Amino acid sequence: MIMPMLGKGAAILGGAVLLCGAAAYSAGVVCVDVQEKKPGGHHIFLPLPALAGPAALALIPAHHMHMPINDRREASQILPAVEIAAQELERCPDGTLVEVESAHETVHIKKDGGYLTIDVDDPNETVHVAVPLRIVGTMAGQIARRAEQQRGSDPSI
Amino acid sequence: MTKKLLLPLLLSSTFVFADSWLHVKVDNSEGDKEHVRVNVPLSLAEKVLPAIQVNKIHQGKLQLNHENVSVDPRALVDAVRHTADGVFVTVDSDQQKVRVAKEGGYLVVQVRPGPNAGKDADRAKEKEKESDSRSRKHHQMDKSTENVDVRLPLDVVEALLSGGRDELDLGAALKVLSSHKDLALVTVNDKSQTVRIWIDDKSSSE
Repeated sequence: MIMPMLGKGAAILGGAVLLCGAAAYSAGVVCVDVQEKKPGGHHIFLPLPALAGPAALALIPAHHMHMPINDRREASQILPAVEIAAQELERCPDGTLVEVESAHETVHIKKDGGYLTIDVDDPNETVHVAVPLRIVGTMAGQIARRAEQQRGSDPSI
Repeated sequence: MTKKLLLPLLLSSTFVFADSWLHVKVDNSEGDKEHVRVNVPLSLAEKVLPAIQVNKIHQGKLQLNHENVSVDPRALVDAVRHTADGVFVTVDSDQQKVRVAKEGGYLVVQVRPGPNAGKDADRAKEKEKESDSRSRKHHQMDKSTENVDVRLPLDVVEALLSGGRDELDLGAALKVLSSHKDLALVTVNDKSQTVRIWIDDKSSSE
């Protein structure tokens, strides 16, 4: 009698964990991959659920996210454009947006599916960052609105 | 039924892939031999521009400060549009030769080095060596050997000047620019660097 109930409980709990995991990763993954080139260099690989960023921003109380006046001004000037750019880029066909190649370094910024990818290769390390465009737009919008609220509530600006 | 489903799909994909792209290509043959490529969909620039509110750019318009200029640029462009093709401005100096002309529906600006440009450049280089130029990391264009070609469709110039007298309407110009296909806008060549700015319907600059 108890065993089947425990089994059902474990199944429900397992299902809930799986659902939460699936929900967390449903918006994609922010991937950071850094490989140092020196012998014995570190390799850092961080796959993070993309939803964690906007969720964390939403949960941070306003008074803990107090921006200096200049940062607020810059954020409310530039971030709305970043939000629109991210939304518009999602619609665009895939391709390389920026490519810099020199004797020492290469930098590639690409739109690849729903992701913005940044690859840097220099004599010290290779860096790969992939961010879902939707999350870039969402977070840029969140920070811009916070900055705007702080500007609006601050009579000194 | 299938036709009903396919037609909107086909149309939407055509609109997505027919997007014009603005390309910038910079190649250096000296120093770090840096090569830069920037590819921006014009639709993206069109949408983003009105949202940028920095310095003198607001709502896609660039504020100009030309208190000393009494010419109405819109009247000037209108006059150019209604005249026959030809060269309007020629400036010949020891350093540079500048030519502004109307060719077809285009406003064409050409800058070429003057007869004594190289001599002055040598002197400038010596001065540069004397001064502390170690902090200069990036290569700069060599004005003495620089060839500049700018080719702008007149309707783009008109759109650019369609706002107020003291502003350039960048948004309107981008909108008109996106209706053009395969257009070389700016080419700059000197002995160690080339810069090209053009639009086409390809997402890559090769």
